[in-house]
Amino acid sequence: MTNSDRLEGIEFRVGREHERIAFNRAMHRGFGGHFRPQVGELEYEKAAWDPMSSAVLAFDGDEMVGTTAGYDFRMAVPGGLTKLFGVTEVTVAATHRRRGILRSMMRQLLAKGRDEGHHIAGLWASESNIYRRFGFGISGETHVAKIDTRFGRFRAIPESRGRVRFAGPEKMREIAPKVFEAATIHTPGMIYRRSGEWDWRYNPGRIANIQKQKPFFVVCYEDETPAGYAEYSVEEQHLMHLPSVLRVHELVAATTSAETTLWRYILDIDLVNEVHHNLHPKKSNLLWLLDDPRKLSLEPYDSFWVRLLDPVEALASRTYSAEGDVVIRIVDDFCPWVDGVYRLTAGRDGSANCEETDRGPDVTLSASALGTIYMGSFYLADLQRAGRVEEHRPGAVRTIDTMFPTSGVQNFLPEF
Amino acid sequence: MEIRTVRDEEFLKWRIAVRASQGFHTTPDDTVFMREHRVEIDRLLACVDGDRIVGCGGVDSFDMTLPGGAQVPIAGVGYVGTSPSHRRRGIYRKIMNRIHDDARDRGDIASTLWASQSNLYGRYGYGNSMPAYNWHIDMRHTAYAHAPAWSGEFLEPQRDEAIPLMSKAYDRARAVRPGMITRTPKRWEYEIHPVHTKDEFFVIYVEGDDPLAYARYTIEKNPEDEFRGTMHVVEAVAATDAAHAALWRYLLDLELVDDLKAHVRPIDDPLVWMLAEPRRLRRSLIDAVWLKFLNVPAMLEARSYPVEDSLVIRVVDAGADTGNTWSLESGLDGGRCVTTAKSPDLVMSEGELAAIYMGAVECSMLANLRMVEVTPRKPDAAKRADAMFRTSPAGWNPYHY
Repeated sequence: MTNSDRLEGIEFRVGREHERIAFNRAMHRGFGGHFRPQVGELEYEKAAWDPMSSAVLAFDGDEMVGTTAGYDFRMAVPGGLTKLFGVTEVTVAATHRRRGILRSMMRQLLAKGRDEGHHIAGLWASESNIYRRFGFGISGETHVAKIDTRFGRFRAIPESRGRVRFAGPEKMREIAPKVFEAATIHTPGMIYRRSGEWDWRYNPGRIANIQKQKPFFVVCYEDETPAGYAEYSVEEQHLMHLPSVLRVHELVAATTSAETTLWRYILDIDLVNEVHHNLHPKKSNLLWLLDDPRKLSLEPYDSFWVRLLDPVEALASRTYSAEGDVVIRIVDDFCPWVDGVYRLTAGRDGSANCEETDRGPDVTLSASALGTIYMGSFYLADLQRAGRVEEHRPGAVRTIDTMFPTSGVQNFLPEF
Repeated sequence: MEIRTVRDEEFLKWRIAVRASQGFHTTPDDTVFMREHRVEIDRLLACVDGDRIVGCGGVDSFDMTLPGGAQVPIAGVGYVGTSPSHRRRGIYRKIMNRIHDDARDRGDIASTLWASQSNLYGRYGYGNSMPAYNWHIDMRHTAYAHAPAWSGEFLEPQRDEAIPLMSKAYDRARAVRPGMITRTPKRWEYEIHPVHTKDEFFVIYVEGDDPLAYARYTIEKNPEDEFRGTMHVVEAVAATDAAHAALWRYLLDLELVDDLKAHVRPIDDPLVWMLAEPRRLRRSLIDAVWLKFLNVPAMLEARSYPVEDSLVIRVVDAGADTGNTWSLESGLDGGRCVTTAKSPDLVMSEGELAAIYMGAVECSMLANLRMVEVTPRKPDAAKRADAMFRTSPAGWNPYHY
């Protein structure tokens, strides 16, 4: 049986407006959950996302058996901002596995992203064994962080000028997007939220209805300017104040001093014994603030995956840490229009030019490997040691590793 | 009370004091074995109060590999403890200071230690310089998606045959991995202890006659089902990428175990980039090795750098008698470091410099945290230091001495 036989009778197309509920049901079921919309959620979804026109869906007759969507985001890359084709809501019905439905949806979705003018696609993966074959590479890691607050003392550090105050959702709606925007300039991989997302995130009605893990909001002001904010919830204990866990849902700061102030605040909250933060940056400032760093448990996991849809534009749209001139052969079976040889030239000021070339390559690597080094968080040398890079000119990997990595940046990555 | 070197006849007493301070017992047999195979008695210190040894500390001599391959003499600090009856009298501080002074006199240019607690050594100028990961992986999810090709084979020797083979592979790996330290033939006999490590299995990867990788591991049997259990990789060292891939394939294919735990893995181990399901490799950060400079310019000159640049660095708590501001020129073959009267681009403490030295943390991150001061004349100095001290492969010392 060939692939197309197995796909016989499966139709792929964008969604239609009347299919939104079916889409949500199929997508939630794919991730093992039920679709139980909150009041206002469908309206929010339509306004902020318009998932039906962004989706590539698979149908078996009338039944929706596969979902994907690609949304248009703005994202910070080293040295600037660019567009991101954010791939999400990828599911195949349990009844329709192993027929190539995912592969067909993904192929069509990525072509759609390219046709819409996107240079970079990105996603958060439900499992880490799925997307490499579609040319995605792990481009950012995030920490699961846990700390016993009894051991949350800081080293001697300069006095903070920050002031922490509680805020309500209306105040947060006003302040949080500004802080978030200010933080992105330091944060490659940071993905901007749309105004509709902010509306929904701080919708007072939505928040009022939250039963579990209902958040508290605090803002850190530095000289009257909001410089950071945090959202957290505390597991309520009704019996004799037994140890409680505080979960940090989001902690975003435009300055390192505001981040420090917010961590001090969180670690000093009474009746809390343990703090968990599942979106803790790979480069953890908290680790280096602590007097007893071993008490902070940090486990990294793959979070943000990247694949390039247009290497010429994507490679030229970021800046580089050192000048260099390298010819890279990209092997890309899944998006054959990417497959080719590219020359990347970065100048002293970090700006770069990229073009297709007929020169011989200095290195050969897969689309997935290129996705891994693109945001500047990983060394090509590590991939080379894993057998994933062919180096044709000695020293080329080292050159790439002085050009691509970024330093001096935060790396909070919001899940999308 | 007096702090002095340990005398031969009181070695057992000293050893009992060291072990008790860490919550262990010791036996005369162990102590004899240790005396013969491990310690340099003239590098061991005791704080004596009457007949009692109430404080202890000491040093093992090692050579440590630096980025670029230079090997430099360092003091491996350990054996540090104080009796509960003599706390809060400054004994520990005096012992540490004496250790560092003696080591400097003998020509050691740095000291390293594995901390019993991570809040103890910052005050003595140590920085967390070689953090590592502990691994935990479910054996059902260990397929490779990528790996360098290998052509060698495996040996499964017993202890006495294993030691010389492991020693060769270790030395080859040590030549290229910054942070690794020497292990003498006697020390191998001690570390692969005939009594305490008798449960260990050994596997050696060889290409022809060349041992290129080895692992030591134990199997913790499931008490309810002897054909299940947890594998503990005590030490796994590989000299080449192919040997690394081969060794880990061997370990991850072991049958009759549910999961594998490996201790002190490099922060940049390529295994995570080889696995088909990288998220299954659960990595947990540990502080592992702490580093202190005993001779700042010698350490800065001895490593190689990935870029050519120059910076003036002031180290606030070091080198009081020779000045504490150095002009560092970094080069691909090494550094040039001289004292200077120029005003510094970067001001930091010894511990910060040690943490930055092999790239464990970026200078610019510590600058953002205001732990490193950057002159307004050169606002890019911290980022330039990031590029200078970038270290690949990363610093790693698997030898928990």
